[in-house]
This record gives sequence, C-alpha cells and structure tokens, in this order.
Amino acid sequence: MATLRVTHTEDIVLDGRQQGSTRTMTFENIEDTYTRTFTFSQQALTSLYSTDAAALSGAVQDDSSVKYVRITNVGKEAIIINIIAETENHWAYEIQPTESYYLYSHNLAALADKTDDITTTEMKDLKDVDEVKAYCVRNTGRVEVFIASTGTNL
Amino acid sequence: MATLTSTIIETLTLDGQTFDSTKIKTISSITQVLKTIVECPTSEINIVTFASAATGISTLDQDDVEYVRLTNLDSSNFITIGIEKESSTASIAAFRLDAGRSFILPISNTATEHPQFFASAAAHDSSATQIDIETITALANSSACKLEVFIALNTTT
Repeated sequence: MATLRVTHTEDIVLDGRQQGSTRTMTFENIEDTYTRTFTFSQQALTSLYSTDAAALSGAVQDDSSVKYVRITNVGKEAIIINIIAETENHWAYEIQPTESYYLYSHNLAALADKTDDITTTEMKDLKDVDEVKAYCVRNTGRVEVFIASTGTNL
Repeated sequence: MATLTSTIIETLTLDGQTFDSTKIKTISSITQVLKTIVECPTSEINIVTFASAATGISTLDQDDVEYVRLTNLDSSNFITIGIEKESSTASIAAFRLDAGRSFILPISNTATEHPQFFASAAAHDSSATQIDIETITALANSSACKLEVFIALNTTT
C-alpha cells in the first residue's frame, strides 16, 4: 500500500502581490494504478475506462475503490470528455490540449439531467460513475489516463 | 495583466515503482482574481453566476472566466456541486466533491469562449451541443462545509 499525494499550485502575481495558493490532497492505501497514453479515432466516442462492482479487468475498475483519476489531453486538438453515470446520466466538457480533468470517488458520485432543475432530494441521490469516454471532433485525439485505487472488494 | 500557472504534481511509489507526474497549464492575460471561502449549508446555494454582463461581485461576465477551482475544505463531509443552466432548456450535472478534494472546471481559454458543458439523463449523444454554464451551486451533504473558490478572469473593462 502507498500514499498518493497530489499538490496543486496556482501561481499568479497581480498588482505586485502573489494571489495564488497551494492545496495538497492525500490518498491513503493506494494499491492499484492504471496508466495509459491512448490515441483514439476522430469522431468516434471511445471508452477510456469503465467501472463495475465485481467484474474487474485491466481497464474495468472497482467503482468503490477508485479514489483519483486524471485525464490529460496530450494531443493537439480539443477533446470532449463524457462522464457516464448509472441510468444513463451523463455530462461532458471540452478539454483543451495540456488541460486535465479530475475525478475522485466513483461510488454514489454523480447525477445529470437536461429536462429540469434537480431538486435537493435528487442532489442527495447520486449515482455511480460507470464509464468515461472521449471524443475528438477535428482529428485523432490523444489522452493520458492515470487511475489510483485502493484494494478491490474481490 | 499576469499569467496564471497551474501546476499539478502527483507523487506515488508503489511496489518499488514511481508513478510521479507533473502537469502545468499557463493562462495569460489574467487581470483579476476572485478568491473566497463560502460556508455551504445543507440546502443548495448559488456559488457564482455567469452571464452576458458582469453584475456586482458574484455575477461574472462569461467571456472573462478563464479558470475556476473549487476546494472542499471540510475534513469529513462531502459537498454536491451543481453545474447548471437554468434558462430555456434547463440542464444540470451534479457531482460529489469529497472532503479535501478540488474540482477544476474545464474552460476553453480562447479569448471570449464561455464555460460550457452538456448534460443528459437519456441516451448517450456525443454530438450534443455544448451549452453555457450559468450557475455553479453547492449543497453540503450532512452538515455545513467550507468551500474555497478561486476564479481567474481576463476582464478588460
């Protein structure tokens, strides 16, 4: 077991004064990692990894064990990252080259809707993140995926 | 004007192997920084609003928003963050931000492109049109939590 430390620093001097900050996240009991730099086809929605409660494999993570995910756009074109939760809840952002997207817990962690506002009750009924996909409109896309997990529940 | 440099350093040694990584992103032409700590109750509150024109201190011109980080400062409880569009076709993506964790909102960083997303509770649609984010909300799960907000702007007016 090991400890993953993620230190995030913002450095900006405005009006002669440092206005950035540093935050450190610590993830204890890390046992598994998954790292892959991956090229995917233009305009093909491509799975980067998925999660499951039991049926695990190299790119299928235990949804209760995943603690930290970083997806970095290492290609030359902007890409869309599509986060898919249970019952087809999903949402997406555009990620520019050199930009990273971060996810943490995948267990009871997400909800999406495009038909109306989500009530407080719904916001307290989050779903598991089941899969993350990528899409590149203008050319082939290239991402780096890093996942750190605690021991699985096998 | 100034350049914001955002650096993420990961350090991990597992089974004698290192999995260290450093990722750096720079954003030029930053003119303003909004940095605040907000107490989030167990009812949903608006953290910041993006609109076509800035109003007061917490409604920001969507053209100017270049970087947004939210950090849950609580030691044990999580906060549910809502990324929302409320006008016309309402959409929301809500997710859990655990204690001590940071969320960085992906932003295009072209000169006047707005923070955008899309959300759906139906079949997957990779070609769906991205829409402007209008509001970021927060709701503490079990008891009030402090949330740190850091936003960098390229406002020129």
